[in-house]
Amino acid sequence: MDEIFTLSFLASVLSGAIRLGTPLLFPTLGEIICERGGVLNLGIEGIMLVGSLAGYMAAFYAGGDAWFGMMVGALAGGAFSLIHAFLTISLKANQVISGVMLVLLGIGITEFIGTATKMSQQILWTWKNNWGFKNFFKDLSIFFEDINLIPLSEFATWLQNVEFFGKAFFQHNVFVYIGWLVVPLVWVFLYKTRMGITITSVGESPETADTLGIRVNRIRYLCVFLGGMFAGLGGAYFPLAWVGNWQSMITAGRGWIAVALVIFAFWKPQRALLAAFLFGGMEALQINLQTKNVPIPSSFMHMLPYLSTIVVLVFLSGGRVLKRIGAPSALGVPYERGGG
Amino acid sequence: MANQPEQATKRSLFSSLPRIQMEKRTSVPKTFQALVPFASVLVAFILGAIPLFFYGVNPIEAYSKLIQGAFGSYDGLIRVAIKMTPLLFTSLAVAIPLRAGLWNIGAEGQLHIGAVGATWVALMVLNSGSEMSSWVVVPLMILAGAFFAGLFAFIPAILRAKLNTNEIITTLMLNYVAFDIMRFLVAGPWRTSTGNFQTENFPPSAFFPEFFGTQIDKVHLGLPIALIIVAVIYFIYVKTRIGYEAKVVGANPQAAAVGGISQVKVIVWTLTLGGAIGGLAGVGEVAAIQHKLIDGISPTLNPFGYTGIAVALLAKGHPLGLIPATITFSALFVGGSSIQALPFHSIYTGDTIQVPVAIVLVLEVLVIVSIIAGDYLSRYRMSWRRHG
Amino acid sequence: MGQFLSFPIVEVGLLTFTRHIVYSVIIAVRITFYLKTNASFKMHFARKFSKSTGCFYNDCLLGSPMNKSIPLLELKNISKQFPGVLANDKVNLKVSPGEVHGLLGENGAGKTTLMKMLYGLYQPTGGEIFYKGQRVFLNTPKVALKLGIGMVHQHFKLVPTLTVAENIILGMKDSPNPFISLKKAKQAIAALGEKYGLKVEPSARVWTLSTGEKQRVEILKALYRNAELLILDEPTAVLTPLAAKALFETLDQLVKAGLTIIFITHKLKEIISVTDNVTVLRRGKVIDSRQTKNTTPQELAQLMVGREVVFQVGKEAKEPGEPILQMTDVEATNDKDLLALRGASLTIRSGEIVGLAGVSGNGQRELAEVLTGLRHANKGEILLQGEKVTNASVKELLKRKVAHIPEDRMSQALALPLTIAENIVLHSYRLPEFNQGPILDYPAINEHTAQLVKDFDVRTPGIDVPARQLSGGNLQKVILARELYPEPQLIVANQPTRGVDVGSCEYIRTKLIEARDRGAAVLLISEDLDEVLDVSDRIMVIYEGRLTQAPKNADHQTLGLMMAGEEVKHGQSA
Repeated sequence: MDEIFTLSFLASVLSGAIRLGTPLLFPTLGEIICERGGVLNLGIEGIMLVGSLAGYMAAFYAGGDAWFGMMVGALAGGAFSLIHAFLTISLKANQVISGVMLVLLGIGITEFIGTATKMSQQILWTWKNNWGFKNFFKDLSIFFEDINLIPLSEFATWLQNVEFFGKAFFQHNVFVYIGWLVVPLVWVFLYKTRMGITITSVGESPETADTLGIRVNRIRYLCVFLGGMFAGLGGAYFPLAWVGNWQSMITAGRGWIAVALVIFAFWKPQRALLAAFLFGGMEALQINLQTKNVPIPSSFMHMLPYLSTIVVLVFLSGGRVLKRIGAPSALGVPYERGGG
Repeated sequence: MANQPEQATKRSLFSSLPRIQMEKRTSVPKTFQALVPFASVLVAFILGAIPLFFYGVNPIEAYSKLIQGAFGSYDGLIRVAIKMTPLLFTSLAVAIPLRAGLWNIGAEGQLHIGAVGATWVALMVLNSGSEMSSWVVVPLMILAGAFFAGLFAFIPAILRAKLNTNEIITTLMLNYVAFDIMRFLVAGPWRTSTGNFQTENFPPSAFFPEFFGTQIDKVHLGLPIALIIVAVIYFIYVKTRIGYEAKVVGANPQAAAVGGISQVKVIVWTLTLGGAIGGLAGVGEVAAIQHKLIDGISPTLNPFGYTGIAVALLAKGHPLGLIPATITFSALFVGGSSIQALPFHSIYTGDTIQVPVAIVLVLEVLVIVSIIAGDYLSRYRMSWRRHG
Repeated sequence: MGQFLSFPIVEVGLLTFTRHIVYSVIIAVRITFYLKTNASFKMHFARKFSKSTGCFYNDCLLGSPMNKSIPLLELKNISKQFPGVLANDKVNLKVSPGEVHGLLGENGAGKTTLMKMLYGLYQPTGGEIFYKGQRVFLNTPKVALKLGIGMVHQHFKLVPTLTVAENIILGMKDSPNPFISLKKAKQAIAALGEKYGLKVEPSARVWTLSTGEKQRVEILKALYRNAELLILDEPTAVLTPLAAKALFETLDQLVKAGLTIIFITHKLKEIISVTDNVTVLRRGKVIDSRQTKNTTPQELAQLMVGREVVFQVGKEAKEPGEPILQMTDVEATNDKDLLALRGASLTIRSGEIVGLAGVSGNGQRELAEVLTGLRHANKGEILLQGEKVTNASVKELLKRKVAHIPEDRMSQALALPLTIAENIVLHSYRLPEFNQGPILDYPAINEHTAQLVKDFDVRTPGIDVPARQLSGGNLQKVILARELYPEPQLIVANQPTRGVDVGSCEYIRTKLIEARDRGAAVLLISEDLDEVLDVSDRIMVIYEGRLTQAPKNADHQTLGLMMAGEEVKHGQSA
């Protein structure tokens, strides 16, 4: 038991929280944008799967270019989520149904293509002994070696080896740091740009937006597409920056957690960072405790995120509180001009 | 209006082009609505041909073998009937609350809890070593499964009724909780001595009676129970006061309140009853198919719980419609797994290839997407129109 | 998919590829900025286009000087056909620059539809719109805004979670900067506020504002967009007379500053006091247009209703009997948890109609809901025929024959997807004649429905059609038929004639009087003072959750003052 109360254990939990929280962070941010625009997208899990397979395949055919894979993953996620946009915005279908169907479709398509191309059994193409993103600061060192900036490279190596902090914060792949960067960007986008307040208005009061010449449905399409891109990016994290290859159901239900995290984060991007790392931390703690043979059944740790989301939702219930905390008023309601 | 086109050209090039305009229909054409489910299955097959074609399989060949696999033989028919059983239960679990406007996304979790409940009874009988008759054990298992699953569904029901907590998210989250509970039990207290993630085999008195079928697959007690429940639910919804109350709450909760109908009551009974019936799906799987509780009683690729949502949609929530809808989906399921093993020849290279079973999932979703589109077209009229 | 595997694996280095991405992003940003700084791509084309065709997309109208001799706005034969309803029938309307033009008509006369077409929210199905002498096509509000048409909607169009300033700049594309800068907006708000007496705090969140302030934000929104023509849709419906007075002062200043105003209302007094010209609409048609100074309220009322307005429905004086409802010191909160009823007391006797006048939002809805069991009363006591029914359930009150005609029939009273029959028995399906224990007796229900449909003259293709297929007046008759069966003791009617055509309106009032003659106690809650004066035996006024008895023979003016909260003085003098 003593092993648990050490700095190195804490560092590995923290490091795990960050590593496991990042694939939750991207889809959560995406879903926040989407829901703030008034569209509930339960299909995150399916979009992530599509993003992961597309990202993996793109990187594979591009000779192991993980950046390319990441972009294609995001675009594929965005494109795939347009199915949801079409069904719910243009055809005014029920958003829950469409979302659940999107998950099933995502599983179906990735299984079909994955099995057909035998992607899941493919021997890995390696790039500098590593597939995809492994360690940002190591990658950075190589980058600086190339252009003869040894001191910086040494600094990076030093940084990684700092007691505690090095292990917890500086031994991650570039995705993690992009995630940290994206959170303030999304915050600025949502609160400080014209598009941001337009999105808010479309999610809060679409008829107001309509009277001001804002094309409500067009904005909503955009929100769903952006959300899908983030989810696709989160999906691409799995093969490109974590597992190293693609397997069926690689996201293992994390898309659903992302949907829950949005509620946990009160629809605010800055809270999403906290929430994602918290949930990532729970998972990391569970894994780390397991390796130390601590007798806490992993099932109970595993259900914690779901249970805590229900608890949060119960606290938020009762309309008024939910309103003040930030659930968009028009969430889940298709917009249609009255009377016509 | 007469000089409209002329005026329009004066304005811009684009406006002279006619545009598609959607108008809301005042009345919904009944025949059209009735045709939507059938047309949807057809459209799904047509759209599903696209990935098959790209893959290199002749879609017509694949489909004919798929239908043959399901309906072409006695074996296939029996398998369709067996797969139908859990799907009927889970789709009822969705359809019953749907009448009151509630979405039960948690049939998957309720299935697992139902299975756990039935297993609990069976293992108690096994451990006590008593020679109880299956006339006692089987009803006890059914009751326990339904009770625990109902209790499990009661949580989101009471939260929704009293605190207005969104039942979609809670039922969804509880799926994973249920799965983890089941995992915990098969990996821990109930784990068999052989080491796998499963329980001991049930005593024979805890087996569901089987009626007819092949050596391997036999239609079991679950199917008649499911069909009886369908009939009962149909009766409740069409003839009784509580059915009427559920319908009003589903159509307009505010009007229901004005009419003195207790929303709390309706929400609680529909969701709880739906959950209990969803639990029966799990009872059937452990008591008749597996004869033990294992990790993975619901297929991972298209889990019964989520497929139940699709089935309920295809049936438009109508209890009697569930029967043809489950037959369709379980035939897809059975046919899909049968063609997986068959060799096909690529139309591009001539190599021998296999059709992944995942195509079934794609087809299922396409059916639902077509249903959605069909619904839209029955609500809106499409017309060409010059604007201005 | 299998053949993809034979693709040559392309060697694209990490750095090369990243560089490409960076370059393309830079190029994309540059192109965007180039287009933005050249106004916009569309406008670029538009200018080119205008040379050959004379005019493109209303652009040549922008900033063109106002010409006093031609009307600012002219509608020619504008029609709007909704499925099943002709909302506007060949409407002609001329608005000169600098005038206040009144648009008068009853609820449902087509005023709002007409203005929504003018604002680009609906498209006319026939006719032409001219603005400053040019034909315009208003297919989205964007075009209307660009032309300088602003609208203050009856139900405010504001985003409650955003601040005032954010609401005002929402949707504007006045600079290529993608970030919002509220500085300019705040200055403008302050300046406009100063000039026209429209003071609001720019950084306040809209949900914290009062109704009057929200309306000021709406007007500011239009002014900030340089509106030349301002459409006000029933602006005083939600205001107290005092706030309305402030609004009229603002309007005065706006007109002095050169704006043109279209003022939509169904209140004659406002038309007389505010407008220069008035156009009367009835059933979607323009009945007449005339100068306000050359007309009288009586004349306008006659035009509006289409007949000599008889201020008395055939009603005999009747001595009220025993008290049916006795309500004392009831307190209740509204949906926002604010106190809406503050010690309201009310007694209604058998055979008596009590009219409740008041500006909407003073607790009428809450009062109706408390009386019918839909809302919890925190304090006070309600007696029904001497028995305590405070916070009794709806079911219990239905059993005691309390009928409720809710304010919003579409959302509260009816389940539109269900059939007429299913809607008719919503209150009575528990009665023994319609069920055998838990099983409903559908033949009896259908027979009953058919009878009521005949009795109440509901125009419907059948009793098994969904309610949504019926028109507003017929739906209200369905509700009335349902509520008046079996004969209720107490009827709480909240805005029973709102949005109903004149014929049905009279029918509904007559039915209420019939019920009263039979000995029922009726509470008629209405914003329509004429209706209150016309139908009631006794008038109460509700103001900020308190009820006050109006003096006998109170007229519009007295009631108006009482509705503004000056009840004490007049109550004493009566």
